[in-house]
Amino acid sequence: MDHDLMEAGWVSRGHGSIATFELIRPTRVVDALAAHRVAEDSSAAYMAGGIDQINRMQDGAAPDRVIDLSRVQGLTGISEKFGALNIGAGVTHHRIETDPMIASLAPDLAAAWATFGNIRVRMAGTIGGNIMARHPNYDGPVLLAACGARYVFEKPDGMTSLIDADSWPDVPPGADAASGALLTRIVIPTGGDRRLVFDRSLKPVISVAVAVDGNGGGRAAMGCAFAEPVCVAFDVGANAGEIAAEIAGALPVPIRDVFAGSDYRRRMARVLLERQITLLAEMGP
Amino acid sequence: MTEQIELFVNDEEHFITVDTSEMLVDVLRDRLGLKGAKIGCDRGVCGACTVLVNGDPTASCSTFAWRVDGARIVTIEGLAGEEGALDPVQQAFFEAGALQCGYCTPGMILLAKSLLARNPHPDRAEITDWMGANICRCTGYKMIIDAVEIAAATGEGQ
Ligand SMILES: Cc1cc2nc3c(=O)[nH]c(=O)nc-3n(C[C@H](O)[C@H](O)[C@H](O)COP(=O)(O)OP(=O)(O)OC[C@H]3O[C@@H](n4cnc5c(N)ncnc54)[C@H](O)[C@@H]3O)c2cc1C
Ligand code: FES
Ligand code: FES
Repeated sequence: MDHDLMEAGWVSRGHGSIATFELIRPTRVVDALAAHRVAEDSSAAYMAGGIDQINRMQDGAAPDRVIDLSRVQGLTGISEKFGALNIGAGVTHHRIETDPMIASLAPDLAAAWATFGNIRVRMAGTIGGNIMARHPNYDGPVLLAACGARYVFEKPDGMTSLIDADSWPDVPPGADAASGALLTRIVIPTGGDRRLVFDRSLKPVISVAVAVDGNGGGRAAMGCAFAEPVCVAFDVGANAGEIAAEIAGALPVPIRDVFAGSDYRRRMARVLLERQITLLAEMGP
Repeated sequence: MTEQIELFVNDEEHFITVDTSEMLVDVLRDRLGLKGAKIGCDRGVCGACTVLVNGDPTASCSTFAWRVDGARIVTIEGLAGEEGALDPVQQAFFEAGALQCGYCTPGMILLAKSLLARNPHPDRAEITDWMGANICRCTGYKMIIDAVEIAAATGEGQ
């Protein structure tokens, strides 16, 4: 009875509905990749903090093997190289919020990251899981796109690939998962007097992150309003209202759901963008 | 498929064989008889199932038991002192009247313990932010925040 109701969507699936699976706990990236390369008739899933992965399994996903990433060496480092922060995919939100190196090189990013969810979620969830979950409302990809970050993947064929955070939405969700690529680190440029502001006060209608650099370049990224974040580059020179109107007018059609219609989302994109560009101008270099 | 794990729950060592799909909350409640951790949302949202894993507040409904192999776990049952004396945070909840039905209370108290262990003198804003991780359907939160302030004032966490 319960099972039928659950299948029909009337009763939510509890954690008891998760099927047993083979657990693999690799300590090296190559072993994690190898574990993902499984026979045709079986499936595998990586698990970092497990927040989304466990919810997916409650919702019916039933991987034959789960590859726990928590012991994989090299996924939890934070370092600075050639003017960029390198953050391991397995670094938790809480570490991003509290790490001294991030606080000194990208304090605005650390402050924005500290607004995610709540302390339990920030202690368990990882930056890599946040990106790879590809949830339209998650904040990590929005902030990282505005900052001009790049994602570094190790692939099962031994190749490394780099993908710009702002072009990540163009990679079909199945493509990365199917290939078993492992996100290993995120590279975030820190030079050029970048300043970043983030407004999530209208979530889940829209979230907006805007970054400007000392050379007059700006990037605006928007979440919640589209299936994947949208990022737009702009020149800082013009009046904030004009820039905001131009960006908002050229956006693809925002989604329409119980929280808001498409027109409202577009209007709020313009309002928040104008507010943030003005704020950044007032903050000065 | 199963895994053999070792847990230190409220300072007691346990060797347990768990199914890979088994959650920590089920091990605590059904195997060890520690019913303090409650299941509310079962989705890692409400915090009713919060326990401390190596000091970190953790949603036991959304944590596979194998994930905490070797960890030190504290449940609400682990806070009682000699002859059932209340822990200072429990006492503060009692004094502030910070509970009604009590369903969220074990999780709230453990969440508060984790805050005070890191920051013995949080201000009200810090308390509000931290305690915002858990949901209470009864109290309206003010008394819970008051209770954490009382516990901090009594030196809990130092
Ligand atoms: C109550 C609550 C509030 C929240 N609030 C916010 C919020 O305000 N803002 C926000 O942004 N998020 C929020 N979240 C979401 C949370 O931040 C994410 O769930 C978390 O970041 C996911 O990380 P994880 O490590 O648990 O990922 P997992 O669940 O382990 O993994 C997620 C997905 O990514 C894949 N994966 C993980 N790591 C890798 C890797 N290295 N390479 C390849 N694939 C990988 C997994 O296979 C899985 O498909 C909230 C969640 C909850 C429960
Ligand atoms: S029951 Fe675990 S977070 Fe709600
Ligand atoms: S006291 Fe009832 S839910 Fe908090």
